[in-house]
Amino acid sequence: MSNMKDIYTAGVWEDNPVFRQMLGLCITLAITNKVVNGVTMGVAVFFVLTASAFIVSLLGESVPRRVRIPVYMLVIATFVTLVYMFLKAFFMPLSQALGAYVGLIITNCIILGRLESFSSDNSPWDSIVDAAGVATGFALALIAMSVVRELLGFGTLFGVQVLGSGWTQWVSMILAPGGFLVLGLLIWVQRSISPVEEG
Amino acid sequence: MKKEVWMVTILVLVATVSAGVLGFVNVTTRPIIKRNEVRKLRESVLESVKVQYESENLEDKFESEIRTNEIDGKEFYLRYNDEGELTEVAFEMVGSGFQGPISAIISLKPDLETIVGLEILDQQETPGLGARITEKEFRRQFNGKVVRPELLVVTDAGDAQNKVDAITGATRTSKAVQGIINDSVREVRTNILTEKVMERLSHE
Repeated sequence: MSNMKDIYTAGVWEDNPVFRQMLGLCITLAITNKVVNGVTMGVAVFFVLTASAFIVSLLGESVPRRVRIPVYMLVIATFVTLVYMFLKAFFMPLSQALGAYVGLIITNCIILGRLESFSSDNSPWDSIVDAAGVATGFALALIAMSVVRELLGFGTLFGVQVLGSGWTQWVSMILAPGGFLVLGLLIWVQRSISPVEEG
Repeated sequence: MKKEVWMVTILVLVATVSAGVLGFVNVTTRPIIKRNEVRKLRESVLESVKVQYESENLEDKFESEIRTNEIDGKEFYLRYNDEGELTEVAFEMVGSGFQGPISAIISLKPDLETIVGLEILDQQETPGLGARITEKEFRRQFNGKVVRPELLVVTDAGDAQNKVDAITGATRTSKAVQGIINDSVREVRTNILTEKVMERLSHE
């Protein structure tokens, strides 16, 4: 695993965290009814994931196996809290829109999964590329979901009316059932384009 | 034995660095967050009593238009006209929404029944559904409505003096707003701004 491009694109597409690994679904279902929420969450997770991957890969072998999870959690929680305070101070409306979900990034298993399976025994540079790839994949999944849901649910994109005013809003798209429906459809689409190789 | 010592050492080290970084960022962002909250409160109070302001003159407008008065441990924002007569009373209301606490500013005429304006300070309702209580179209309906015998947020409000339209698909949030307004207004009317207190406040 030394080819940067392969590491990156694997995270974005072949091993997409949402559509392939089925991770981070709680956040994915909860916040994707508006595109702006999806973008903000994508950016926040990108920052937390790449930053913690860098720190964890620096710590590397010096972390004893038995305390690695607490150490990872501490690193992740630190960066998440940073994001939380930053949003509250400089992007108050966005932090209000995302509510508790920013704090919940700490428990996002995409992040813990990457730290455990990649960053802990790879070089800092490789880890950042891997984290960036997976985070991009996550952000794209969130945006894809929220584009479909906001468009059908509100007839808008980024809050701007796209479909005519005669559009009947699909209220269920904004609610949880719409999230499950769109997630299922998008997983089907992604896996049709590049089928899973049965090992 | 050595292994255990190292385990504890690394945990303590990581935790110390983490605490240091967070402490530093907290100290630097706290004043900004606090300022944001105060600004938001003042904006909402001014909006609720329908005073025009620009973001540059918010502080001045607030100082010149609003008199803050603490009564029984609750902050009231009072507005007087040029003759020194009380025209609006605004205060903060807090209550449970569907998913979390909702806090809002309501302003009333001195009869403590007629609503002048409603502003939402903070809420955690479903985006696109319950969260639409922050939208102008919803809040504007309350202007001029009367909390007597009580305010009702219903499916088809018509022209009734004490009814406003609920948000489609967000019945629980709509009912929560109804409850918060009725409870807070009743509480203020009967226990804090009694007739005696209002008499004292009615002139500057």
